[in-house]
Amino acid sequence: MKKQLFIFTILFVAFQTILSQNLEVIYHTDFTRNAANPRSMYGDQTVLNISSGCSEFYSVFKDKIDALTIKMQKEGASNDRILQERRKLSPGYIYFRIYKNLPKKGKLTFTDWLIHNDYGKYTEDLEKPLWKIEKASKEIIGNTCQKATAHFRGRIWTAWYTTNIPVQEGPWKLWGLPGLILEAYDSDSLYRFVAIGIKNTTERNISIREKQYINCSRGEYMKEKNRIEENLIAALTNSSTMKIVLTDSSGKKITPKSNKYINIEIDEK
Amino acid sequence: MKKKLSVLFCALILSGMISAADIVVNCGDGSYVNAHVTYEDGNEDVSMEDMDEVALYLIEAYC
Repeated sequence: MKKQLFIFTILFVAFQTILSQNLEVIYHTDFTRNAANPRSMYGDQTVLNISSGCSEFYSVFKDKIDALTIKMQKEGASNDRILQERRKLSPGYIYFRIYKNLPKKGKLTFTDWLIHNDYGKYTEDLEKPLWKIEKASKEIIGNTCQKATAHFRGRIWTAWYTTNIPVQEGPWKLWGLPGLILEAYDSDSLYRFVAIGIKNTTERNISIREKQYINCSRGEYMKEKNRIEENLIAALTNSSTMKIVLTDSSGKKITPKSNKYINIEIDEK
Repeated sequence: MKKKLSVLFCALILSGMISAADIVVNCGDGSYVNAHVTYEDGNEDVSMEDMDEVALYLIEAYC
């Protein structure tokens, strides 16, 4: 009887530990966002914070830049001083933040910078990619990982997950495998997330960052984002008193070009 | 291939708030692209993200 009680206690504690796993996973993130210049890759560092059944995913570099900017603005620093200090930090290129199981279980909230001081926000159902588990395996930061593939939001994704960490989480909107996703990339090599560090953390309250958001649907957001990114100069100048004149090395005026923006998601449904 | 490009300087002419800025990008091959940004309304609430995005746009479109 004592032995059974002991085993039950061990199993209960292990189950509770898995359920309440609080983790911080750092990913090195490479991506391109311009189809006309696919060789121009950006490197960023993203973090996936998991706590109390929720998660948040965002750029560590951008977060540091934002924190510095807010701190200096509160201190009354001038804009040129803020800009100088910002340039000393690693540049953060990823502006979006993703919250899984927020505002409630089964929902995903997405926020992103759009233009000027406008941020968009939408909430959608937490869609689980239909993963196909493959035989291949490899090691990532000391963890044996299994390969899985899925068609998701218009792209073919490959993910490497580890059952050493039985948490159904991953970078960006990816999740739903029997273990934590430590690497993920799309078949066109436009986006790649590779875990470079994992640590256990204490329980934290994950909440959607407070801002004045423009609430929209995913489709509305994608259309607006594409419109802005494909003709950035026009979008900036048409929606404010901003004027932008472009010149080349010889001082000659040049006409703004349009960009072929690559969104990580393709379908606008 | 990662393209290492640098924003040379972003000089801000200040009068309380930004009224003009030059964002100059070095393409790494000896050529430069410049965006001269002005605000008709000097009290415009300047977005740092706008400045960052213009620099990235110059790199993506012209380098």
